[in-house]
Amino acid sequence: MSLSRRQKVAYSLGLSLNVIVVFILLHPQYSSWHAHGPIQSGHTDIECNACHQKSSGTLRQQLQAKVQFLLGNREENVHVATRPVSNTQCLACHARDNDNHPVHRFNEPRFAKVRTKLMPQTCLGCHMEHTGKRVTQNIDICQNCHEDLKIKQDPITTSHYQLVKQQKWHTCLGCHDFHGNHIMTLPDTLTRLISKESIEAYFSDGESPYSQQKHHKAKKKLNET
Amino acid sequence: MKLNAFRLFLGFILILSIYLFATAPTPLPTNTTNSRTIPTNLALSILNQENNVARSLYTKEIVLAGKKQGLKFDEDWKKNNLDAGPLPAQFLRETANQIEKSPQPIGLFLGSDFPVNSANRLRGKQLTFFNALKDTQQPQYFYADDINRHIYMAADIAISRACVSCHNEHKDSPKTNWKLNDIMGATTWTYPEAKMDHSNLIKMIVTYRKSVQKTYERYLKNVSSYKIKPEIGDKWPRHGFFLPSSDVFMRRFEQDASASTLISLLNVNVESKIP
Repeated sequence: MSLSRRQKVAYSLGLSLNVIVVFILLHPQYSSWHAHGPIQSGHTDIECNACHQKSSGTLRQQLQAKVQFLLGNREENVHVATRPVSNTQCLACHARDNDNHPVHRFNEPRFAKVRTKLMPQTCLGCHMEHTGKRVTQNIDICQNCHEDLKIKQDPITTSHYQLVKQQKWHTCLGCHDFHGNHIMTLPDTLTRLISKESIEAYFSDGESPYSQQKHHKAKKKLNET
Repeated sequence: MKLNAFRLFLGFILILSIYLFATAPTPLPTNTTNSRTIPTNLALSILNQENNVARSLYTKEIVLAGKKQGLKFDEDWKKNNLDAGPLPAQFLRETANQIEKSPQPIGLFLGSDFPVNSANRLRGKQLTFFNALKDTQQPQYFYADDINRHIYMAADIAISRACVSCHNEHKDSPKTNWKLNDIMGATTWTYPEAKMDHSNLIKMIVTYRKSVQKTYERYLKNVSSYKIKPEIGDKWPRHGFFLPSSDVFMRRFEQDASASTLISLLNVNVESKIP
């Protein structure tokens, strides 16, 4: 097989262009170019590698371990290049002591049914990133665990029991924020309820309808104390 | 330029083989261990023993004795201005939260068939095993395949009249005829492997104890903002308006728990790992 001068130039040019494109894509400044969707507004200043952390070992070690796993010579699989994003990365900035729904609690066996539906044991179950949304579940999420809610001495004018019976699940988040991070007084009547539209807008990365005062502010950087 | 495609292909395969096999760099380590192992149900039963001691100490010597001195305890103890400490169930939950922050993959949960908070009602497989626990009065051990966890469930017994009266009188309690020594619920422990390294069990015990300590310290931190503060030091509520310091509390806990834990560790039928 012999190449003409024109072909050689074309191949060289193609190869050089490829190398340049790869270098640009690998540069952290342009990493958003190969993200698989828009990031939610609160995360725009975070670098990709804060969540997409490197797997242990060199690329060659990872590939070798992968091959050994595929050949049945190794018990554990390995992740090549980056590890999957897990709760650890989310909680590095968002962990706090008085979370009303900490993810680890959903690892209890009794939540088996809801785990298959929502994956609430993972942060990404409700906050799937690169969707452009803050919350990727529906507003009626509470019905999955609180269908048998009964409060004997109910402090609100229309009882929780009535709201559950009437399937008014959107009202839950009208009074309570899911993680209990906003400092606010709970309303005692439905007239003071936050509207369904406002909460849905918040889920879609809009303004927060809850109090601006928070118990815990997320870290801006991983090494922040 | 003449290129033989077959030779090129062979060359590529050779280079790839060298890259992947021939001059292998140090292989990545695995989590498998060559040391001796202990079955998870046995390991978790030892942790549960520790937990029973911590809860009993906190319930009897802090909550029960503290109430007599005017100290308050409330399920909403984390809310400001209540000047109240955690009830035993919240003490356990906070301990579980602290365990969760550790690198040890242990889970600790509390549930019941008649919980004060309906969100803590046992369901599904966990309820089935809880019923078996009540019938046999024996801890239950099973595998939850959707989360790949081995589960150990042990009875939560009404160890004092305070447990009984508090649950019977609670405004949201679905059952109001609890009696002393009733099984009120279950403590559930989870762990990802069927057996564990012996040294791992020691690490888990240390993690559990540190979690109890952090929980108690969290309570003391709240106490420091009370309007009327008990004196914190060597004395216990049974002596007056006092609370033991973290060191004093932990010393007593270790004294109460260590003998039975050591006996269990010595009696453990240690399995040798199959080579």
